[in-house]
Amino acid sequence: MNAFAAWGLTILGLAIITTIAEMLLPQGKTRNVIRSVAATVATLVIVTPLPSLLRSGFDFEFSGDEVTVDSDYLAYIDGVKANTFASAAKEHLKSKGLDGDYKIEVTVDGFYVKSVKVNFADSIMNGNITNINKSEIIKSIADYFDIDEEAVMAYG
Amino acid sequence: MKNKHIYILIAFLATVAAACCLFSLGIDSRVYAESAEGSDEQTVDDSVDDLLDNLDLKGVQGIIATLSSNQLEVFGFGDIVSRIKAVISGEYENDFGSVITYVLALLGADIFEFLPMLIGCLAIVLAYSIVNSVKGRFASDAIEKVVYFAFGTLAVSLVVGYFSAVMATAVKYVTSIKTQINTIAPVLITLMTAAGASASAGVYSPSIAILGSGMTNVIIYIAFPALIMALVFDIIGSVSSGIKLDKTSDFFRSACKWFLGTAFFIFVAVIGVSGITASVRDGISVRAARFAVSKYVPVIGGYLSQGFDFVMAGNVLIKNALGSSAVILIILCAAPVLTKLAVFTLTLKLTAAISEPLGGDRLSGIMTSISKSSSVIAAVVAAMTFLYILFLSIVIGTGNIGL
Repeated sequence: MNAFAAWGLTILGLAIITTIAEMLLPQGKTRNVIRSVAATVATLVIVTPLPSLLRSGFDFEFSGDEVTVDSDYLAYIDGVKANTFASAAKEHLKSKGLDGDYKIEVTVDGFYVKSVKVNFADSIMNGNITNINKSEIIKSIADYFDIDEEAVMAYG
Repeated sequence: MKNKHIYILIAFLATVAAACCLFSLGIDSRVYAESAEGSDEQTVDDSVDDLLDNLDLKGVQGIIATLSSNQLEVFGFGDIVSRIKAVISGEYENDFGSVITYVLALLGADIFEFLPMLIGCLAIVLAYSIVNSVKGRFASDAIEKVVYFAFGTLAVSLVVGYFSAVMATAVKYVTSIKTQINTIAPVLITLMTAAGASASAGVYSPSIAILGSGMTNVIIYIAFPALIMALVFDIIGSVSSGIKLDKTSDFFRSACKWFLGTAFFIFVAVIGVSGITASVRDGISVRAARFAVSKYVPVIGGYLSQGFDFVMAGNVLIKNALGSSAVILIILCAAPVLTKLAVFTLTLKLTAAISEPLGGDRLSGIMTSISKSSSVIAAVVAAMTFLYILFLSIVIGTGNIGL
């Protein structure tokens, strides 16, 4: 940019000097010679940056900083999806008679369930279910979300 | 010269057309809301409220805070969240009438701003004409040149003062576009990702970097300096008879137009084609995911689907409302700059037109030369605005999946 401005200012300065010289000099051969010299110098000044420009080539960086998305908002949306999945899974298990106080935590990847955690710590099974049938719950959850049983972790 | 006007006219018409498309998209978003309202009005509204509570819109609010009272009046709201809610619920409609009134008010103010320049230039031309006629044949050629140089420098100093102010406004505007792109686009990309259009979001992210950083830098650091240089050469060529630089300034203007024209064309072509393909891919992947959910869980599939619909519809509605608000914002910011440039260019042309019969042929030439540079600046500003509006319309048009 500085070189660009310096180049322009050189031409501007040259033009001003030539104009003043033309005003001061009387009509005659000297004036024509001065004008020719000024025109030649101006041409040289205009052409001077071209070889270096062609040698260095154009290397303008077009790409900018990477776009930063609102990760907190996306985490919130994933949370909403996960809660919806968890509620739906609870409803599904309830319909199969596997209701209880166990908690389901779902980890999502876009629109798909990635993994599920089932917390049986505070589980008190109701009705006619006397024992917590963990393996059946795990299998039902895996079937429900169409994921491997290894992706369903149970604890408590 | 005619070509430049045609370019500006095309850019303006395209901008208006894009804005019309966006307004129609805004209406579409309300249709979506109404269709969703048909199933459960309260839930969709609640979903939108929850999403807005969690969305970071401080940056957008910061841009609104910079608007003047007149601009705020046209924008309708001093708070972006209220505006988004009003657009989604259909309570607020973009009013073209107020925009036109605002633009006309700007035109009036700009005419009064440049009136002293017109009067000043005409006074200089008149004085030059009187001095020229008074000196008769007693004055030498050198004195005639000195008189012209003095009057020419005076007229140029007056016009260049106004030109610098207009140029500063244009640079400030391009910088503000950069700020707006870098503030609003990430929010739109976040909403697209949240709505499931992650492929489109991935495609648009580099485009934002190019538009928000590359293009604005090209304009600020290459195009505008080249146009200033063209102006300097125009002035030198007009004032000095020793060195002729008219063709050099034409080269700068032409290079600037070709360079920016090519960059704009490539950008529009890339973003258009990649945006369409990514949008189709997103649509298919989201439908596949929803189909998979409803297939594997037939009993509660509807429950899941409905839950997702509210989240996705909320995100899409907010994206469209924010996008249409961004269009209004950029139009409000572009209008003062474009009207200023238009009035400045026309004032220069009018000055040249009046100067010519008064005997100020050469001074008239200077005005015409400066008006050439200012009209190219107007074309650059209009093109940059058009690119941003086009980008917003493509972002709003895509990602409306699953609705």
